[in-house]
Amino acid sequence: MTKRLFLLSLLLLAAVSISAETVTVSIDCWQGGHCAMPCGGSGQGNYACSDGSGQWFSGCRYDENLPTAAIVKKITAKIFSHPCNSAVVTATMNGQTIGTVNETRTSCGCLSTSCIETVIASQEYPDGFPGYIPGEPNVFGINVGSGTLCVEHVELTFEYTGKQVLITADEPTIVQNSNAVNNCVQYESDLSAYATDGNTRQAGVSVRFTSNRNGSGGNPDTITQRSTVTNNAGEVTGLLRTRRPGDLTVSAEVSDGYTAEQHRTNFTEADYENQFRMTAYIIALESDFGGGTVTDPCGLTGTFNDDFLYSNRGVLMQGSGQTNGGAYVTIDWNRSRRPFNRRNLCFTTINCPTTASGQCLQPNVSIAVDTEKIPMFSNVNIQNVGNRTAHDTGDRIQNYHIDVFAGLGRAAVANWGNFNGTVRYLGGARCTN
Amino acid sequence: MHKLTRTCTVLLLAAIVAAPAAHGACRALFADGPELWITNADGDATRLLREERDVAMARFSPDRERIAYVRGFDLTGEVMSHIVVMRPGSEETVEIPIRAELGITDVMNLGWLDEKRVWTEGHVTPSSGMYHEWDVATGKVLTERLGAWFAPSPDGASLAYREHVPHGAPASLGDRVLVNERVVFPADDDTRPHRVRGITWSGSGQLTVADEVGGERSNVVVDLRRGGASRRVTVQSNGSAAAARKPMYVDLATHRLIDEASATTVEPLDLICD
Repeated sequence: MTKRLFLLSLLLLAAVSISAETVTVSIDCWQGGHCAMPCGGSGQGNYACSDGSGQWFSGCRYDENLPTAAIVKKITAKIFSHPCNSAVVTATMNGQTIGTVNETRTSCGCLSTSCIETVIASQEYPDGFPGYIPGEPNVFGINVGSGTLCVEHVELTFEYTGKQVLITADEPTIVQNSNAVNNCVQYESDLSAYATDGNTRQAGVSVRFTSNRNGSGGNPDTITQRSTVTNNAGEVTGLLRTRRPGDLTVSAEVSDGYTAEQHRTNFTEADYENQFRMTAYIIALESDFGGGTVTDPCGLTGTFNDDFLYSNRGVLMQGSGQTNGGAYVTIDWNRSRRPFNRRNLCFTTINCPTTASGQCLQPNVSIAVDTEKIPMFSNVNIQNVGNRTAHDTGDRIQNYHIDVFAGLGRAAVANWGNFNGTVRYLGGARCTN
Repeated sequence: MHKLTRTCTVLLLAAIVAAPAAHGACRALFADGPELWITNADGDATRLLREERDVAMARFSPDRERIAYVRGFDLTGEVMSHIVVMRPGSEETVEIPIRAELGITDVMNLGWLDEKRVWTEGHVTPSSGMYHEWDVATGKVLTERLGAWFAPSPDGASLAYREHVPHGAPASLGDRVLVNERVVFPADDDTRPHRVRGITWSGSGQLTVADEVGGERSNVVVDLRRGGASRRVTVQSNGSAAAARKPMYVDLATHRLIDEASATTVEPLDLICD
């Protein structure tokens, strides 16, 4: 059908009349009827019927020469036809319904009677008729649900605005050197607005950005205007900062006669503007250690490698470890005392090595972070590493430093190389804004 | 970043930092990925070397004639990295291997104790690391300690650091600062759990600790004789959190704070002025 439309569509623009905010186009794809219809308008005379008489088109491709930057707010179709009986008629534009009417008037016949004008108007669309592309070919359609309609031609009237302000917002980023507050990272997005009249950029247009979320409670979105009147390039810029995740619609208060086109953006995922230092950590694995053993150390029963528990590379340093028997041991903080050394340490067994968040340490999942930069439970994507979750912290992990939990023992870091890289925040933090 | 852009950035930054040259001859070291650059008194930047991996922690020796730095870590082998000591303008280079058996996975800090010894703080866990003193001539480890925020005093006679705490300790277990194995902070009668976020010495031998307790951050000048704080400077909440992470030198004579944390994006690895 589409191919047929391309091949057979007739761009018969009988007449185009343009006023300040409307343009009317007469289209006539309906030909081949056995007699002429005196409906008026150029190209009149031939027709086609929905029952198959003549060359019936349910879709008619046309061009209306609107400025490409125009916003078509309303479409009205006036169908000149001879209904031979009552007909339910639906008009569409690019498949989107304009409206439906039940045409009960009939005037079936040739030559002797005038056409009936069936008017079908869309609702108002402040942001533009859905899917309509001004200045490009679009497809008008007629669907006849019941009855028979013999169409001679159609007049389409477009109500549009050519004076508009187009708003764009850059992909959000996380502000350089900013701290999270209440587990909420600080996003920012550069805003731009272009004032146009038709396809021409307009200087001197007042533009003040607004957020749809301000005034609805919570911390406000902060918008800093870098300028408030469009320059010679028709542009105004600004900067939006927010700690509120979720959808946000940026609009603008603009000079009289102009319409601001809203821009919707989502503040969840965002790249950090700072690079991070990536290092790795492990927990001790008893099989990594050689040397002597110790029997029934404080808190444990059995024989264990001495260095595994007490050396500077063992549980004394790492805080936890896995024994040759597969059990996890950690420091018994209630029974151990400072300074933490062989003499003062007691151990206990645990189901899993835990983190500052209370979650189990998981290879390929857990990372230790500075929660002022990456709030606890945040999901992040680390360059060359993949997705990880902020489960852990440590006094020595500060600012833009991520310590990736690699797993058990030295083998877990055998393929690791420290690096400085980029991080993308993916959400997941328990932001209370 | 495009190579040319990076180079230009380095040159620009070098030129900016070299600005004090007008008031005295300063030299600064910069790392730009695998390249090490130096600025001279005229503000010109010269590339000293290019490594295969990133250059980090470049520091002038006390006599300013040599430079020590660390190569980027590669944990795949028995030798994961090197401390390199080089003399600009000569072929003299010493490479000290950092072996896997040490258990560190990165170097967080490096300095010179004197002309014969350098020190490093190695990364092990999110909570704690290792201090090593290295003999430059032999490459041998002379001393090893556990802890964090290691800070040898300017005269090399004292070593301040946050006491080692195994990873996973409960938050109620506060931090303590030791100097030569003696607890100097917090004071004996202060039972609140402190979090130490950095330790530094002033040129005149004052020890400053970036401290957080009860949600309040401050820079504390430690009374080394009695222990505890002799002066506490509360960090303002208007965005100075980063400052608390990097201790500020407090000049007790003038009561002026010298904020060392202002160059947050790129700062010289080392800067010396005549």
